[in-house]
Amino acid sequence: MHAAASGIQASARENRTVLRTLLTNRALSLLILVVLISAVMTILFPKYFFNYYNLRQLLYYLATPAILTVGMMMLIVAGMFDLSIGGNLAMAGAVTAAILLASPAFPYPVAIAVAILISTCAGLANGLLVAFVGVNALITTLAMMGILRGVAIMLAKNPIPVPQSVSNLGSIFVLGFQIPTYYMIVIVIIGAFLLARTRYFRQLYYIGANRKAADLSGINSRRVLLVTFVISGFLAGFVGVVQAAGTNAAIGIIQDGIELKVITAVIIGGGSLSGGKGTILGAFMGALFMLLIDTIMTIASVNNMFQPFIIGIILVLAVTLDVVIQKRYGASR
Amino acid sequence: MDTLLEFKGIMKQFPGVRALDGITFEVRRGEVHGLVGENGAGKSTLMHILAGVYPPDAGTLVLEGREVRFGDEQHAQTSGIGMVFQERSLVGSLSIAENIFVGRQPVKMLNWVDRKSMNRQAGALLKRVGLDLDATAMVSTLSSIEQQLVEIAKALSLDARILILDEPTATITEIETQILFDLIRDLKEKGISVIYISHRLEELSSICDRVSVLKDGVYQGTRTMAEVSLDEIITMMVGRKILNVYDDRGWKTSEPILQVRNLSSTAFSGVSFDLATREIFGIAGLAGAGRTEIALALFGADPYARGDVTLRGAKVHFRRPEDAINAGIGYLTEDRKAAGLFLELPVAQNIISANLQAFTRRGLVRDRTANDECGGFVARLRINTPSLRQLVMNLSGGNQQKVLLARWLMKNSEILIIDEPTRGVDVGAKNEIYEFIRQMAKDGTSIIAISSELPELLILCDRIMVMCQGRKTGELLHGDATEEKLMHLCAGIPLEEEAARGASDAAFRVGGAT
Amino acid sequence: MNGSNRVKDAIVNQLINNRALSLLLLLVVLAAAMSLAFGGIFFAWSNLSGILLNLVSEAILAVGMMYLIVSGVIDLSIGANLALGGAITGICLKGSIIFGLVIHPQPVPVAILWGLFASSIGGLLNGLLVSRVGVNALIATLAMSKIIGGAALYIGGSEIADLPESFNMLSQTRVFGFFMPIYYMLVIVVIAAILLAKMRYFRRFYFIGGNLRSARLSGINVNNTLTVMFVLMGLLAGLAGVIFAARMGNASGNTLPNIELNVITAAIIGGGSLSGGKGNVAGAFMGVLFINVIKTSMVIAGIDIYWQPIIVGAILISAVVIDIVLQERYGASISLRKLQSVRRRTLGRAGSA
Repeated sequence: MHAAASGIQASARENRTVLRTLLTNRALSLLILVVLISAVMTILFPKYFFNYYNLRQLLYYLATPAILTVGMMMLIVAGMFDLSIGGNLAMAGAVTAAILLASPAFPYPVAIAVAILISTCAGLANGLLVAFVGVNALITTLAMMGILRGVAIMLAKNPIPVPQSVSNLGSIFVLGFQIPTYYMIVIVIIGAFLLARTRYFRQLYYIGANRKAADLSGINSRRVLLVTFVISGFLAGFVGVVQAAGTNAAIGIIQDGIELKVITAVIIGGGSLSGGKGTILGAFMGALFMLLIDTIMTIASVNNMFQPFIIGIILVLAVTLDVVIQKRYGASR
Repeated sequence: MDTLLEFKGIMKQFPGVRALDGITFEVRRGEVHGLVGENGAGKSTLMHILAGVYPPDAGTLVLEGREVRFGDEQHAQTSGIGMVFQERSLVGSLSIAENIFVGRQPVKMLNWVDRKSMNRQAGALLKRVGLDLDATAMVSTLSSIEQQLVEIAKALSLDARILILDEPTATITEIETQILFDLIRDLKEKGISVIYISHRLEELSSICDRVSVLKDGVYQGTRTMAEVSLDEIITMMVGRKILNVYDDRGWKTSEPILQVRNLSSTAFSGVSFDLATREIFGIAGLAGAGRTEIALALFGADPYARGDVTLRGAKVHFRRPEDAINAGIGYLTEDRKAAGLFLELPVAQNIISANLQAFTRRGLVRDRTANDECGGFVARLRINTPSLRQLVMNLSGGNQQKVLLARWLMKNSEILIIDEPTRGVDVGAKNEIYEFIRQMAKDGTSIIAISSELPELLILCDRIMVMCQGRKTGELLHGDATEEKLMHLCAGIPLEEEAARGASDAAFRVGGAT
Repeated sequence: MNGSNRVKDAIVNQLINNRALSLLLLLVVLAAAMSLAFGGIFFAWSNLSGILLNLVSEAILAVGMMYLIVSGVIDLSIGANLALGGAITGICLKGSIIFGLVIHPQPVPVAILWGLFASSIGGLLNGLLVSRVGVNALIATLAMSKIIGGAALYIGGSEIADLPESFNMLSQTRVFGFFMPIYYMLVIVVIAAILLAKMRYFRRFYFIGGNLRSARLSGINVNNTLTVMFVLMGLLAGLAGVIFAARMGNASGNTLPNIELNVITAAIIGGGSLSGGKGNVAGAFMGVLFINVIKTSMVIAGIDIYWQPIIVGAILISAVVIDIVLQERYGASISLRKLQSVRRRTLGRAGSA
């Protein structure tokens, strides 16, 4: 019953098989999977796949889900989630466009700031309700989704054009890639760093693993959760403006169903609804994986309306796989 | 007395561990048969097999002379095995009657539930276990002992001939334990056998006729309670003599580090006491006395607390655990799984959870340094874990408790409140933990130890305060304290003569009574 | 015991615990307010029967959802299943070619059975995922809603028009001035209420939601029960879809927007708790009624329909917040009082022993 101190040194000599490492480091296994799939696709459809143009487009379309997964992964690590991001981003775009439509002379940076501020406040509301009042996260964000999407549709039943000044922010090229690519890279790197290395966001793991124990360890759970919801709201607003900019118009039903995609990406990327697990890098790879599937569907000429169908199947497969892996290998990390 | 139940060569293997290795002994009709052993000795596994949760890999159960093999829990129940698990099996939002008859409610035609009959039958059962309650009362309004008795009523409703009680007194206290024992003796007279599993060895002599000991899945022997001493039993359990002696430490000072005056909240009122530097101060009491609530109030986890708390001469009032921790107070929770440990996180992360600031430089966590320090604590506390990355949920109860201890040791709080230091911990680890606590006091920590086990308090503490239904009923120095006196105070019965007077004088002043 | 305290406790207890009653009171207040503001138009027969007719689908779904919530799970695929039921019934009625398979027009009862069968399969898949594989109900049904939804869309196209009269009359006939769907709904709601409150098999849902482990140890086959529950939900959704298609005279593979939000809101307002073990059918029905009366009131008041999901969302949040506040304020003190009195009784006896 008494382990000598050398027991700890023994950990260095752990006989971990390569398979175990792969299964536990989600980002790594996804990267390998993505590379494999890309390789196969390149061989099968050489002219569709690996060239600068496609890469550029891929990164452009990756921006929206990737940025959203940063916020969602943080929440899932803490045992929470946010179903309102779709409505939130639609509302941000709609607000920006509506303001500038109503008074074209209005300075556009202010319009954008207002929209993102409102989105951030929606995140704040989510955080207050969930963390301070104690309302269930599903109910709160489901209701908020209805509210925000409703507002977005009210403002923009039909597409509202977006002035050039704004759409530049979403589509100009820098060093050969559209600017949203850079937004994405910066946000993902910052997010990964914050979650993995900083003490403040490390607390999310504790909160997700055992909220009560976290409180009794002196962690201010309520505040940390509030901040995380605010971040989710902010990122949704940011993405909403970029989306509207990129498509040159804002419309209320934009990105309908993005919640499913983002949650799928996060779960594929290693997050677990029970909390305490997941990394931003994993989430990013999850988003990349999802986009890859998207691309394959486009190449295979699968009708757009079946996208959710495929995503649903992937999600089912992903969680099933996760459960199976947990049962067989879930001992240490 | 004839044999009711026989275990013959029961074997059970789980991946990587042999839980039971050829268990053979018998339980007689109408006897209370204690079953003891350290954590991991196999008691729970054996009882799960008896209750039909899973079958043995080898060996047989013989019930009243006939071999039986239970396919599932239902089969065991209909054969007369009633098990009351440690975890509650009741649903709070339903009535007592519904809970008792779950899945087997009496029905009229077409499976329409017969409420009248159900309530009537439930009422009769409640009387049988001595509960004066309305069968339609919602379970969430019942106290712990009442729920326990409802659980027994439920088992009895299945015509149990053998009742298995797994740690029945873990969440109830001394007086309520007597209620339980009365019921058990009643059942004994009616010919029902009871298998009584408990870590509280002192209880065994009060209630058990015989006791069987398991160690590491191996049967060690059965003894008649009247003919065996606790020391002997312990030796059988762990194979060595345990010296549980109160250590008269010379390092306790008379300087009060914490002074509490008139602390009040929803669960207690008017509590006052002093904590001396390097003292081990105990708080005894029945469940619901308010002990844990006092700890939470001191720790800043209770928003309703009022009163004067002076720490090192300065008045304080903590509104959040964070503040208490920063001021040097630590709290080791009563329920380690629910509120203490991060089961899905590794050992290292669990240990540093209250101490993240110390390993943070410029906002970043320095994991390597943290791991080094954690390694040191793991060695020092002899925590049995293959690595620091092992998820805490895979450790045994004793080791989990040590992880919590390590957390607060690392924090090096000046005052540590330990709530139930050895609940669910086996004998071997218990003694280790007592040693560590004493060492902490020697090294400068002042300790408040809350416990439901009076002997534990008598082993550890320099002074013991007793709470009863939210009020302080007395305080005894170690020299004056006995289990009987403590039990009196726990029940709110005042002590007579000088003992009481001496106690109340010592109540506020640290440093001796008369 | 203090007499006036007793009365106050009883009242607050009813308000907190008997959700159907509180909602009924609220509705009465709302109806009164509406008729004051807009005159007798509110209580016009056509208005009332119109409200009832419109809430048929949601009521049927909410009943099933309440069963699930009591069991501690949730189903986000109800809208998709509803669409699937309608779509399958539609193509069976009119005949079609799916995946190269030729389907001849079927008689009405057969077509309906196929529709119900399809949606039950959808429910079965949900049940298997949640109980056998062990996937979180939220995720599982969210995923399935897209899968089933995709299937419904493919099969139903965007519309299967002109369903046969013999089918449509099932929903378009009037009896005593009310359309048939209202009767179907009432029958379903009443049966569901009786089953959950009185039938032994259905009482187990409270146990599964209230204390899963103990439900298992009591011999309740949780996996099977949950699976059955999800199949029932699928069946109810399909039924709602069939009734709806008959009423519309056409079927489409499109899912009604926001229906999940509305149904979940109704169930939660109606007393269900996401943690399981609480709720009843009466409450669910009152929840649906309440939401729809609000919606109708908005229309009468001339408010843009795009406001509806916004208002429903706000109601949901408000209802839960009010619940939490009430619990905190009164729940604790009521149970504490009960606790004290009850404990005194128990210990009193022990003291004399």
